[in-house]
Amino acid sequence: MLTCLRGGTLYDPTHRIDGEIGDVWFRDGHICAPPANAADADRVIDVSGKVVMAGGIDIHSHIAGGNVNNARVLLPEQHLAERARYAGQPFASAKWSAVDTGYRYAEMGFTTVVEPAVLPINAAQAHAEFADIPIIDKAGLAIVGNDDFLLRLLRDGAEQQRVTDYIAWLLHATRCLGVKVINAGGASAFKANVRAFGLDDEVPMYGVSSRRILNAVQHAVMQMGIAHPVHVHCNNLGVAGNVSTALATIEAADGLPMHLAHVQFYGYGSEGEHGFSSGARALADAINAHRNITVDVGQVLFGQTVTISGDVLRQFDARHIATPRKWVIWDAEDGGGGVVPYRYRARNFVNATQWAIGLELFLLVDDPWRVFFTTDHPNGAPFTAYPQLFRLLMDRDYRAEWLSRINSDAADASLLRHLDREYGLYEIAVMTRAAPARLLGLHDRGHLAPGAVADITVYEENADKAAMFAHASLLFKDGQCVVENGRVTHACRGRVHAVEPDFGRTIEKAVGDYFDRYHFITPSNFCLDTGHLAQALGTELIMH
Amino acid sequence: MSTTPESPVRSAAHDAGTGFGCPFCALACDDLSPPADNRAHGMDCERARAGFTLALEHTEATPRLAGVAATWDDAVAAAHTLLRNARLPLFHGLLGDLGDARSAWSLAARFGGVVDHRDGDAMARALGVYQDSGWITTSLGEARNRADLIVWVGEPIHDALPRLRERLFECRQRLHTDAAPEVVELGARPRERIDHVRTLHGGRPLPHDDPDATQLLEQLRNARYAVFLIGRLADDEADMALRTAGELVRELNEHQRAALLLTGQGPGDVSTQLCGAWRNGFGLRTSLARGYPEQDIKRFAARRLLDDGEADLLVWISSLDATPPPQTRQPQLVFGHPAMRFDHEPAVYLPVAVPGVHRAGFIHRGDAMRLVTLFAVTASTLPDLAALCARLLDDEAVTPC
Repeated sequence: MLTCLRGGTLYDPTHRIDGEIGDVWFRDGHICAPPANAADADRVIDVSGKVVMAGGIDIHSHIAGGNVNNARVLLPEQHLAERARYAGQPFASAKWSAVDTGYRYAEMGFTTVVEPAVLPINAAQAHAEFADIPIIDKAGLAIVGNDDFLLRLLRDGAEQQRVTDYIAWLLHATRCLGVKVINAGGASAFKANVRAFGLDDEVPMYGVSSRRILNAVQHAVMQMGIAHPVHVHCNNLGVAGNVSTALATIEAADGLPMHLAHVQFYGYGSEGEHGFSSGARALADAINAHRNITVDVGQVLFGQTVTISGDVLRQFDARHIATPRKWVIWDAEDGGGGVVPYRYRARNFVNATQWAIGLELFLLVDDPWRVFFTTDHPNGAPFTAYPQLFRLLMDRDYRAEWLSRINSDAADASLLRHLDREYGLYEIAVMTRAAPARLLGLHDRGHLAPGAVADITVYEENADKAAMFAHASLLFKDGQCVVENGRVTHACRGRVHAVEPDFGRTIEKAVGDYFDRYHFITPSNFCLDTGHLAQALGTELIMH
Repeated sequence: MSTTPESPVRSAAHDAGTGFGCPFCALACDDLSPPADNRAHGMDCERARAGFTLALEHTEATPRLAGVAATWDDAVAAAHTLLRNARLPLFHGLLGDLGDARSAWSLAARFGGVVDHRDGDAMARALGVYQDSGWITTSLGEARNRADLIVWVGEPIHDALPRLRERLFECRQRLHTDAAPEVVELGARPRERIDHVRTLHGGRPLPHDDPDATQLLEQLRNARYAVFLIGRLADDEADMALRTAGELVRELNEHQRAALLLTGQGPGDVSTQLCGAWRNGFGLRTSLARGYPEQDIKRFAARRLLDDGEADLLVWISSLDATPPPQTRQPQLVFGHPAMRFDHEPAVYLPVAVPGVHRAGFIHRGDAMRLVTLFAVTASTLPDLAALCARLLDDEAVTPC
């Protein structure tokens, strides 16, 4: 079917299209050039006066896997008493379910979401949950850096190529799109009763520092040639004064590509009477000066949420601030994690300062291609709060209104009063479409040129940007209309994106021997088989 | 860039190596010798051997309506009629894999039912403790590599988890030591002992001397990584034993490392619970009768719904276990193991493929950390429950009776 979206206001930063009036044509699942004869269109949809962008892409949102699911079970009070929103669609009435995740992202105009913390031992469950998330495409980042096999390689002085082969093998095994490091070595150290773990601390039993692990993984990612640079959760997350760790990590990247996740959580100084202050200026300056660095923010927005993290040291440390007072900590093969519910309060000095630091970072980092809009869902706020975040970035009066409501000491100390910058629609399109597609290597999405997948969002212009971005006027997924007037009208299945980098096959023997000695599972079962995933779960993998 | 090829499922029967999962206990081992020539003689586990043998001997079966052989079309139509006419169908048993759990949740959503597992009482107790306070846990793999002290809380579980002793207690191939862990067995009535240990650890006096508790506390304090392995507990003290062990573990972790290790209650329990959680946010004992999920671990207990007559149809799902459902006043729709035999024939019996033998699948290990891959190891004419479920969800695919 040949479709024309006629007369929309187009934002396609990949092709430097900034608010031009134009048509977008697509045939079946892909965007195409306009036909010689416009009358060939099977369907013409008038979108004049409306904003047209590619489907949104979220690079960091915890939507699947054991830690997420355990949080659901721990906190029934967070999704009780929800009434049916979509009669006739199984489970669409269930809040915070896999189905709800797909529906709510689609309603906001998003078509691809990355789960950034797939623990390899738990990868099959992440894929099983992906299979039940409708509409949107999904991808996972495999967690490395606490794997005993990797730590043994480093302890024994293995060549970098060996590390690279192992991590490439792990990407095959887990069917993930990239690699995540979470407090490298920290989960392993916690198993040996270590309670704080910095960049230059060494993992007990291995004598390998966090810096060394991070460096080896970063180089492995470069050597594999996959698109997404190593995705880093730094040491000392959430600790006052940790901006120095973030700055040291940026230096440790040594000019090579590195993505720092949810940097708000390490934008903390330790000044002032509360011993807690904004380190946003120093961090933003470092990001601006290091073009090899990309970041997502992990914005805090006020309200009840739950923190879900593979940083087990941090989660254990946060047990005293659990709200409500219940929490989960778990150890597992090659990692660990925890679930700590939390309520961010506008009148609380620390929470208000966290809120301000996130916004300061957005407004102080000058290149929208290198700063991403996450809330680290659900750690800073649920992803459903994105529309409010976009309004905060696009509307300084709205920010000022919020500044008058938050803790006054935090408001007074913040730079926000002095930051007049407002994001425009073009910059929002960069940050939510073009830049994520580039960062993840998804070259056929995030833009509107012929050949791209027909994932297209149409928004109704509205002075209230939160209202505008809360509900897409239309959303096309692979060319099918799935949302009309902010409501899901059709629930298709999404796909899963992954990479298959080459690796030296000799690593399989070494991994096999290791698994035989120490694991509770054989490597052949540990490696997810694409045919089996298709058969057992209906998973359709797209390999990049 | 390429999309997934339509590759056939790998068959362990054609793959001489290991790596096919065994679905018949919560360890979900994948290192057993594969069945050869459709026989499971070489397997070093009684439970696996029994499970595989029974399924390998039953690769086809005929549906029955009140004990009378029927065509698949007629049986599916009769199942559809029962489901459509039920006021509150109870989806129970759930002795199956993740695919079976997904089907159960889909059917419950479509026909407005409640889902509870055969071992729902024990599962609900654990769920209640978890939802009240959370806990600190570890996995089978971490216990194997790191535990230097295992406190075994619960009944002897050789029958339930035949290879646990070999794979965990006696294992010497461990990451940082070649010594097997010390094991302390507390039995099925451990509550008082754990309570005493916790009391002593908190520096409080005991009501009477308990030298065993004093010794266990000393062992715990000397351990680098102590694991409380939770097995089946006596009903009247399971709740408090688990709560007390959970709190003791949390208190120990203020200064050292310790964790609970939960091994599950029965086949399919973890997959039913976790799949339910991502499908509807809650999991076990959730009703979908009103168009939105409501969880109530007491009100939606299967036994109560059956005894009070609140449920008017029992839908028994058991692809892994040939034991028939309990006798009920309610009519029964059984999606069962092909070897299932009944004293009282159900209204509808639809034999289904056994996951891991007749068809591919996934099943959670008892520690919930790993979905183990199951492969088909023999050819079978039995339908996958998911295929029957797809027909039942599509009204037009069912021939009216």
